[in-house]
Amino acid sequence: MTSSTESVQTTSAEWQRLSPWSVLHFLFLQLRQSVSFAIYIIPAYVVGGHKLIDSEYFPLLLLAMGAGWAISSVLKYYFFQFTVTDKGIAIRSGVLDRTFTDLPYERIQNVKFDQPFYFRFNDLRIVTLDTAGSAKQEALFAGVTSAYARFVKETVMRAHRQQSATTTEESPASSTSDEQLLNERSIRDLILHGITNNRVWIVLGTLAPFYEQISGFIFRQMNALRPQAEAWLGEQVVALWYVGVMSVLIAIVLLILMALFSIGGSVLMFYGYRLTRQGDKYIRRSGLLNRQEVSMKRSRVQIARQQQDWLDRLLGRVNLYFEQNITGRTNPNELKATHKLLVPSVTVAESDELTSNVFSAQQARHVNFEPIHKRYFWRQLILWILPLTALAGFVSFKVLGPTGALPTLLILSAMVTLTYLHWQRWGIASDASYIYVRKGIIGIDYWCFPLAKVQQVEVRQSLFMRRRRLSTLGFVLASGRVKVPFVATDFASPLIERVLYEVEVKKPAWM
Amino acid sequence: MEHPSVTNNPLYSQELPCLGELPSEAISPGYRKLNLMVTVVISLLVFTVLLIVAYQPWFTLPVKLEFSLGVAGAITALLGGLIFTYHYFADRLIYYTLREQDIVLFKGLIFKKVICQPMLRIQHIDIQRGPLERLAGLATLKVYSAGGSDHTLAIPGLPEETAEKMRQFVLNHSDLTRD
Repeated sequence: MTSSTESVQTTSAEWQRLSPWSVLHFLFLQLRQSVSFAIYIIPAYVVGGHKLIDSEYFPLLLLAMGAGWAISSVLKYYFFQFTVTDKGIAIRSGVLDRTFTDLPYERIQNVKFDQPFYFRFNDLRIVTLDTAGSAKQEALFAGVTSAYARFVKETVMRAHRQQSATTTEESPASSTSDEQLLNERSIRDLILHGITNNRVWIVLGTLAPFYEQISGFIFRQMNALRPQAEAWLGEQVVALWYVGVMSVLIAIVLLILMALFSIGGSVLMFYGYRLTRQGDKYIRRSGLLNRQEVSMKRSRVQIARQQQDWLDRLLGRVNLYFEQNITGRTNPNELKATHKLLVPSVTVAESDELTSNVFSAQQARHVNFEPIHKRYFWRQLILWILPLTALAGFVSFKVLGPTGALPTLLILSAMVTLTYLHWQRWGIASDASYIYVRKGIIGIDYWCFPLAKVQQVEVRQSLFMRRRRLSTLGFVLASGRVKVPFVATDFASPLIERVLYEVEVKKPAWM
Repeated sequence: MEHPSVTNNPLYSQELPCLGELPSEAISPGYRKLNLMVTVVISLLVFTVLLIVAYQPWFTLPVKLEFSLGVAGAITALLGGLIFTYHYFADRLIYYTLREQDIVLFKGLIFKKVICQPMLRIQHIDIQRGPLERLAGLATLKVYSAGGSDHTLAIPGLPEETAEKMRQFVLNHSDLTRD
C-alpha cells in the first residue's frame, strides 16, 4: 500500500478533510459493529453479567460507550485526509493504526456514489473508488458534497481519457453531452419485479440478527393457540391434525411473507430507478434508503442478457442484464455488484430497445435461430434421466411397494418434458457483428454479444459427435463463458472462422 | 521469429473443428513418460505400504482388516491401471500450434477439445514447473485471458527451452502492447 508514495503526491499536495458531517458515517459504522457485537454480549449479560455489573450503573455505562463512540468518530474524521492530484488520489486514515492508500488514476476502474440515509438530509455522498487489483483494495471517502463527488469522478475520467488519447485515438469528444433518460421504473414495476424475482435475501440479510426472536415468537404463538384449538375440536383430533394443519398454515403464511419481503426488497433496492446515458456511459441510480449510483462505460459491456423466467413470461416482463469484466472479482454480493447492470422487469419492447441502445442493430429477438441437434435430448435422457429414474424407482419401490410406480412415472415424465422443452429452446444465431443465443425451458432468455468481444474459442467433440458432425461451442468472454452444445459443425466452423477473423485481423479492443 | 513455418492461413481455408490437418507440434514425449512413471511409482508405493502392514511380524491383524487390505490393494491396482491406460493413450494426443495470431491447443481421448486463444486477448503468460517437471526438464505454459482462471489455456509437457521461447514470442507479440 505504501510502496509508491511519491507516484501520486506532488510536492505541494494539499491534504483535505471530509465534511464534518462524515462523523455521522463513522458513528454509523461503529453502531453497526456494536450491534453485531451486542448479539453476543446481551445474552452473556443476561445469564451472568448482571451479577457483576449493578444495574444502577447501566445508564452510566451506556453513556460512557456513547461518548467513546462519539470521540473516536470525531478522531477518525480528524485523521482522515485525502488529496486529489494530477497523478492520482491518496488517502491517509486511521487514528492509531495509520494507513496510507495510494491510487494512481490508471488503477481506478470505476467510481461509484452511494448516499446512505444519514446523508440524505444534507445531500452528501460516499465515493467508492474501485480498483482493478485482485486483492480487496478499494478506497472510499464518506461525506463529500455531491458536486465534489462529481468533480472527483470527472477528474478520474479525464485522466483516463488523456491516457487513452496518448495510446489510441478513441472516443474523441463524447463526454460532455447531457444525460439522456433511457428508462424509469415505477413502483408497480418494482412490485411485479418483487413477485417474479426472489429478492427475499435483501430483507433476510438485514433481519439475520433477529432470526431467533422471530422463530421463538412463532412457537410461542403456536403454543398459545393450542388450548383454544383443543377446546374447539377435542384433544384427540387436535393431537393428530394440529401438526399437519399448523405446518400448512405456517407454510402459507411464510409464502405470503416471502412474497411481501421480496416485494419489499425489490422496492428497497430499485426505488426511483433511473437508467440514463451520458455520452458513452450508462448510469443507474436507485435505492430507497441508500441511493446507489453505478455507471458502466458502453464499450465495457460484454454481453446483454434478456432473461425471462416462466413467471416473467406470464406477466410479459424481462430482466435485462448488461455484464462487464468479472476477472479478479470475488464478491458475489449483487447489492454491491458493479460488474452487472440490471434493468428490472421491463417490457419486451423496452428490453429490445435498451439492448439496441448498447449493441446497435442487434437482432436478438428477430433473428432465425439454428436449433441444437436432437441428440442433445437423447444424450441427457440416456446419461442423466434414465439412471436417475432407475434410482428413484428403486427407492420408491422399496418404500411404497407397487404404488412406487406412480411417483417414478411422475418424475420421469416431468424430467423428460422439461428436458425436451429445454432442448427445443436452445439455439444459436449470428449476423455480421453479433452472436445470439436463445435458452430457457418455459421462459425464454436471449443473449447477445459482439463477435469482437470474444476472448477465447473452445470446441469440444466426443467421438460420437464427431461422427455426426456436431460440436459443442464455447465462447469465453470477459464476463464468463457462453456454451452452446450440439451445434452442427457446418454451422459452427464458419462461425468460429468469422470470430477469429474479427478478433485477430481487425483487432478490436474489448474494454 | 523462432517458428518461421507457422502462418495463420490454414485456419481460414479449413474447418476448425477438424483442425487435425493444421500443422501442429506434439508436446514432449517426456511428459507421457513422466506421467506413466509417476503412476507406477505411486501405485507401487501404496502396494508396498499395504504389504508391509499385512506381513509385518510384530502383531497379527484382525480378519476384517486383512480383508479391507485386500480391497484396498484391488482398488489401487484398478485405479493405477485406469490412470496408466489413460495417460498411455491420451498424452500422445496433446498437440499445439503457435501461429502468428493465436495459440491453438488440441487434446482429449474420447472428448476432443480444441482451444484457440488469440494473441490480442492474452492478459499475461507464465511458465509453471513442479518439482517432478523440473526433474524431467519440462514446463507448463499458462496463458491467461480475461474471463476467469477457469479458462486458462495450459500447454503441459513442453521442453524447458521451448516453453521459454514461446513465452518470449508471445511477450514480444505486437498485440500484447495494444491495450
